[in-house]
This record gives sequence, C-alpha cells and structure tokens, in this order.
Amino acid sequence: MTEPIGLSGPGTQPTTSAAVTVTGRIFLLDRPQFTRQVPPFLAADRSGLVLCGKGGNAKAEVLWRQSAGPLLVDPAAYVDEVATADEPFALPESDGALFGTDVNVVLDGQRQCHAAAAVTPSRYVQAGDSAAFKALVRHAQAIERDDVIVAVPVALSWLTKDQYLPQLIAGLKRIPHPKAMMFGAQKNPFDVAAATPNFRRLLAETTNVGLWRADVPAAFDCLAHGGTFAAIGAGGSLRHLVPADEKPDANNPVAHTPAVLLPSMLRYSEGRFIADKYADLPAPRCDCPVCDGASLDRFDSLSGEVRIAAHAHNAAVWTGWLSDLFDHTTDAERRQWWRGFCQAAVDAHEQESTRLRQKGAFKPSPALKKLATLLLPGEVGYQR
Amino acid sequence: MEGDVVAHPAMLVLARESRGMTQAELAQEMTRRSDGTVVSQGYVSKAEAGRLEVTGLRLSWYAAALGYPVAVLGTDPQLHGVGVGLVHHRKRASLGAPALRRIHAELALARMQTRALLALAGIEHDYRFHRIAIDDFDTAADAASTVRREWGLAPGAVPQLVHLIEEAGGLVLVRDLGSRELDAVTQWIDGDPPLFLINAHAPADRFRFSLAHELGHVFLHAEPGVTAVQERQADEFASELLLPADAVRAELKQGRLDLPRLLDLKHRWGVSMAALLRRAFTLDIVSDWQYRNLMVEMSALGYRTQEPSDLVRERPRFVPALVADLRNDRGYHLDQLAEATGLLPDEFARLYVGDNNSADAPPVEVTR
Repeated sequence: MTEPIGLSGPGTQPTTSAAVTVTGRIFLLDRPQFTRQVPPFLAADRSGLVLCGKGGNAKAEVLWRQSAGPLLVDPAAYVDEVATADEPFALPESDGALFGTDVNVVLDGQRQCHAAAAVTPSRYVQAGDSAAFKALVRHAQAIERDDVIVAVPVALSWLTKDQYLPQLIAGLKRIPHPKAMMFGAQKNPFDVAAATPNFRRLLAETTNVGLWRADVPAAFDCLAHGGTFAAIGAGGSLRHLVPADEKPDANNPVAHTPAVLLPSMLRYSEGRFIADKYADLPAPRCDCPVCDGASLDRFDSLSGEVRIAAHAHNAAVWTGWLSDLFDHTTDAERRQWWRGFCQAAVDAHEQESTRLRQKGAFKPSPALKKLATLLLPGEVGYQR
Repeated sequence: MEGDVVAHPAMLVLARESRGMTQAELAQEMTRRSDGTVVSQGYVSKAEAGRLEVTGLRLSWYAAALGYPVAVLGTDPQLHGVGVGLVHHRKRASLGAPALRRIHAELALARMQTRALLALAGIEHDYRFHRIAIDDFDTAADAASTVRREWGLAPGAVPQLVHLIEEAGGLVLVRDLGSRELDAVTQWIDGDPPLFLINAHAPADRFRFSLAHELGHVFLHAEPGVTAVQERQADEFASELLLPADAVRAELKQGRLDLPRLLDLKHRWGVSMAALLRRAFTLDIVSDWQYRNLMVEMSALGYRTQEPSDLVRERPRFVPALVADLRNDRGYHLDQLAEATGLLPDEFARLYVGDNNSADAPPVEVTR
C-alpha cells in the first residue's frame, strides 16, 4: 500500500494503525454489488475504496489484490438500524456463544477479508438520544485494538443545534480511534446554515475525525479545515444519509438519471437535467480519465451501465483535484485555495447560465455559497 | 415580652421587601398608624442600616405597618437561616428588581415559616435531592434521566409533578408573587429540603414546565446566578423530565403535528403546546420550517399569550396536610401556629389554610 501524503494541523496526527491508514486520504465509497473492480484512476497515495453495505466482506476478498490504496468495508448498519442505550452496535446473533457476539467478531471479519482497517457496525443515533450516543462512545472506548475506525452516524441536529454540539464534540474527544462522522438528513446536511461553520469548529476541537458519505464539496472542505480523512459516495444515496427511522423524501430514488459532477460548477446535476439545459448548445466536455474529452450530456439514461459510467466520471474528476488539495505547504494556503476554488465554482454558475442565455439555469447551492464566502481563521471578523 | 423586643435591621429589610414597599411608603404607613408622630424615610433607612435602635412604640408602628407580629421583627434572619441565599427563578426580562426583591424576601420568610411547622410536628428533614455534576458530555438532559430513574418514574408523562417533588421531600407552596412575569422560584439551603414557591397566577399549562425548570436548578446549580447557560440547562432538564426523548419521540411521530394534535398532546403530557412544539423541533420531528410556521400560526391565534383548554392545576398536598395534622391531631390552635411561624393569624389562615394550599388536597401522610 502506498504511503499517504502527510497533512499538518491538529486533527491529523495519526495515533493508531487505523489512523495511519486513513490520514490524508479521500476515499471512494461504493456499494459492493456495483463495484466490479477497483477503479484504476484512484490515487494510491491519496485515496482508497470503501465497500459500503451488505456483501462488503465477500467483495473485499475478490478485489483486495487489485487495490494499491487501502480497501475498507463499512457494514453500514446505521442505514436501517437505530442505536439504543443498550445496543449502539449491530452485532450478528450470538450463534450459541456464551456471552453473545463481540464487536471484535465483526471487526475481525473485515480484517480477514483483507480490509486495511475495520469499521464499527455502528447504529444510527437519533436527535437528542443522549443515552444512545453515550453508549456508542462507551463501546468505542472499550475497543482495545488499534486497527479500528469508529463510524459515528448521528442526526444532523447533533451538529446544527447548539444544544447537542458540545456533547457531540465531548464524546468524539473520548474516542481514541479515527472517527467517521456522518449526519442524517433528508437533504444535503450542509445546506443547513449552521452545518459548515459548526463542522469546522468540531474539526478544530477534535482529532482524528473524518467525514463519511460526503459529496465532493463537503469532503474537500473537511480536509481543508483540519479533518483527517473523508469518503465520497459514488452515487447520490451514498453521499448523504437518510435517518434510519425515516423513509427517503425522494419520490422514487431509482427512476432518475444519474447525478453527474459538473466540474466547473462543483455541482451534481441529473443526466436528464444536463441534457435538457444543453439541448441547443454544446455541453461542456470533460478531460477526466473516464470521459477523455467526451461531452457531459451523455448520461441521460436510466441504464445501469450509464449510471456506473457517471459514477466513475464523478470519482475520476475529484481524484484529479486531490493533488491541488494536498500540495499546499500550509493549512492556511490549503484553505485559501479551497475557498477560491469554491468562489470560482459559484461564479461559474452565472457564467454558464449566461452562455446558455437562460437566466438562473444553474443556481449554486446554499452549501457551496457558504464555502465560497465563510471567513477563514486569521481574517478580520472571523469567529469560530 | 413584646416591650423588650429590639428590631433586627436585616429582618426589617426582609419584612419590608416581602410587602413590596419602599422605605418612603413604609414611613408613610407608620405615620398613619402613629400617635401623630411623623416618621420619615430617613428614619426607616437608618433603622434598616442599624444606625438606630427600634423598640417599643415605634416597633409596634413598624409591625402594624408591615402586618407582621412585633416578635418576628426582632429575629435575626441569618440565625434562622432565612437569608436570601441561593435563589433560582425562571423570569421574564420585564420583571423589575423591586418585584424580584419582594419575591426573594417572601421566599426567605416562607422558609422560616415551614421550618417552624416542621419543628412543631417533630418531623426530620429527609429528602432525595442532591447535586448532579454536569459538563459537555454529561448533560442537563442526562441529569433529568438520572432523576427519573432515582425517583422511580415510569416511562412517559409525569402525572403529578408537585406530588412527585413533595414525595421526594421538597416543600411546595402556592403564593401570590405579585407578578405574572414569574411562575416559580426556588431555594435550597444546605440541611433543609428545597423550597419551591409557585405563583398563584402562573397558567397551569406553563407552571409545570417552570416547576421542572426550578427542579433543574436545584439538581444542577450550586452556584448562584441567572446566567443564560444555567437557564438553558434548566430548560433542557425540564424538557427531558416532562417529555423524555424516548417516549415522546414515538408519540410525536404518530401522524402529522398540527395545532389540534398539539392540543391533544398538551393534555396527555401536561405541558403547553409551545413546549411540545419546541420539543418536537429539538428532536427533529418537525423541521425548522414547520416549527416556524406553527409558531406563527399560534401567535396569530393568540396562543402565545393564552393557549386554549387549560390544564387541571396541580396543588401542593404536604404542607396543607401538615397544618391540618397540627391543628386536628396535635391540638394546636391557629393563633399558636401563626405565632410560631411569625405571622398574624389572618395571614397564616390565608396562606396555610386558604384555598391556595388546601383545596383539592387529599389526605396524605405527613411523617417523613
């Protein structure tokens, strides 16, 4: 496995073997059933692959030889199981064992399938369920091995409501392992005004924290502001987390064309939407290794092949940006670069709308506008 | 001997403030009750500062003007442990300092009165209150869960909060606090059970939350002060105590949350519709947008001032039962009880035998 590029900053000092594995990387997170191979464009020293959901162990056994970067398996119990004060982890039936199944059985299972580190089978913590959150922290603290990443899937309110954020931060500080944060919400959690500033605060006050099931803007912002690692979902459902106790608001999550990353605008748009917008003008072409100069309006299809191609394009694009993110010598430079990148993306929305002669054809998301405008540490008026 | 009594300056202040009078008003009232002598504000000021001694005739004018027995004005409030001390209250910003001083004085005197009643009955102070340390990780809501567990509460709504506090050894009194800006006030002095004064004017649907808020202060805050942090923590304690996340989440999620449903839930949980809506928001049952819309709707209907369908008001049981026990079973006359508590008989009857404290009070065991 290739050594990752080092990061500076308070949240980036690896203290366990799992921390060494994940530090300074942005992973691609995909479903085992859709992963035929380890994408060849993944940067071995700055990225890796996470197989997320059922069948992860089996697929890892098939793919591990292909993977130059670290390969991880996330059981993703948090998708449909809610944490309780007694059972914050989802553990298989004890199968006659005297004291039930230990979390180590699950972790060992991943490691035996050649996962570079093991991800806890954490359940989803509902808003304000302090007892369940504290149980998750307690159980994570009790894990004595050092090859573990603790998944911390919590309702978005834990991040955005002042009532819960201090407890979330205090809990994370108690966990000696890398923590993979994810925030449950029906929509992009970082569209909520308080989410980005509060997450930056969380990153500044904790160590070894990463963002899981993220989109490109959130993942890059995490790494730019002291996060240790991140994982970007290949498809839309892996870039967000719907609360385990809720059904998705989306009317029909399957019957839509794939979300395509439009690089200049740092946004995901549906293949159908792109095709419609560019019906009368040439769509942008993409130079990523997957597209190789092809036009971005070619993903207007419901077919599985097109969906997989779109996901590959998305991952190849952000992989190409990793060197821009990591090749800064200081944290301050990295933040400056990232904010400038986001500002340019916001501006590109209007430019592209003008080019199309369709006012407001593309509107930047609240999350992106936030990234483009928030003050940075050291700037006049900056407040943590 | 009444004639030998020398007024204690601190008690003069406490007694005057408990009546909500200024020094000038008191001087005027003393003049009205005197033999023609004009009593000046300066005299009252010097008396309260201990720069002159108040005895005899002047003390009797003082007592008459304030409506207290002469003897009580000669007691040292610190010796009786009734100094204002650590007081917590959930007040609105508009409550002024004089009104607050009056309430604090009333609380201190109520402490002295209840101590006297407990002493007459020979009841040992036994209570299940203790400080719970909180920090960012162990929160005020966690403390409320601890209290629920320690007090043996079943999951779900708290049927009788006043009774629960009394069962745990707290003393609860209903008083006219002279303002609608404050629902309850509490004081806990080491060695004594916590004392809660509930404002007789507090709306029934709001006062349970206010009382739970005060209970939060008792468990959480050993240091005085009305800081925003303490107030928020007491609110979080109250919310978890009365609307425990586990139980209320499941119920709030059963169907769309609109005003008719909030009204139903208000009766089920014994808190205001506003408190329920706030809880639904903090537990992510309603979105920020839904929360704001419902609040706007409630404001437009005037619910922020007066919610529909008031709750049945809880009343204290322990102190009324204690007074009844002293009178009926132990043979104390009302005058004797008044004297022991430092009150004139009429006021004692109004405060301890009147409707406020005795109505609807079923018989309870007064031994502890």
